[in-house]
Amino acid sequence: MERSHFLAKLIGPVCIAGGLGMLFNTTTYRAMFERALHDHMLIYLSGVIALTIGLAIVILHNDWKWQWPLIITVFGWLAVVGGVLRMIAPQVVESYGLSLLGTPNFFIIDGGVAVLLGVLLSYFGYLDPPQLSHARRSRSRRRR
Amino acid sequence: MQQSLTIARLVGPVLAAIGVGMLANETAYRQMAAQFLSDYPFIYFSGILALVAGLYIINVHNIWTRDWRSLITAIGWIITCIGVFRILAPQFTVYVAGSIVAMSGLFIGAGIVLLTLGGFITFKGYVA
Repeated sequence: MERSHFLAKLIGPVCIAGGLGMLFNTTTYRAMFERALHDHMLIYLSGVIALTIGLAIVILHNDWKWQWPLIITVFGWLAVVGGVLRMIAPQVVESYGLSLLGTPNFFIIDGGVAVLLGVLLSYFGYLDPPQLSHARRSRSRRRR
Repeated sequence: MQQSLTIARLVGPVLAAIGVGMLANETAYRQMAAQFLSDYPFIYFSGILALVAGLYIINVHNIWTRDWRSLITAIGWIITCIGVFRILAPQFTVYVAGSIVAMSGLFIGAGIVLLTLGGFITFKGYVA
């Protein structure tokens, strides 16, 4: 649980910042993503980083219990799969990414989901530390 | 204390290397900065890396004592702020950094500051 909180403290604010950027800076983000998708070297580099971060998460945190840390495990596996795909076939990522960018309201939906996830993770990471969770759990057990 | 030493051993040499690079290779650094600032994706990726690194430092090391360890915490906060700024508004990063890079003595001054800071932190991490 300690590890879940620490990872939530790192991942949560990054999701919030990225999501807010997508929501409020759409024009720049569209230009940036189009430019990045045409550059295979950049896709490859982002794949190396995503795979490394994803592997670190799933090695340290492979928790599949039906609780909030599941978000982190899923995030880690998505980073692994996304990283492998980017490294093996950047051209597939390019065509798939460009078709995604073409869908209407892509940045609003994606940004909204990222902000929601980020707020949830930041809440659990920063405002619900392990000692507080343990205290709440033992209090509710005593009540029962 | 162990946490401070570990971070100092990582951060110190990186800052010192960047400082030496700026002093010894000013022309290449100026070209590199211009190329970096013309590409939003680079700014965005560097923002994500900076934010993760900064959050890591301030989460494991948020110490404000009256010694060198506060420097590590301050560096963590600065990297976090830079990361947020780059992710939220890459175009403002281009605007701000573009005017800073245009200054003539920037790389010499920044190189001296980074080399001094990195050297001091490296000394504290490895020797003292």
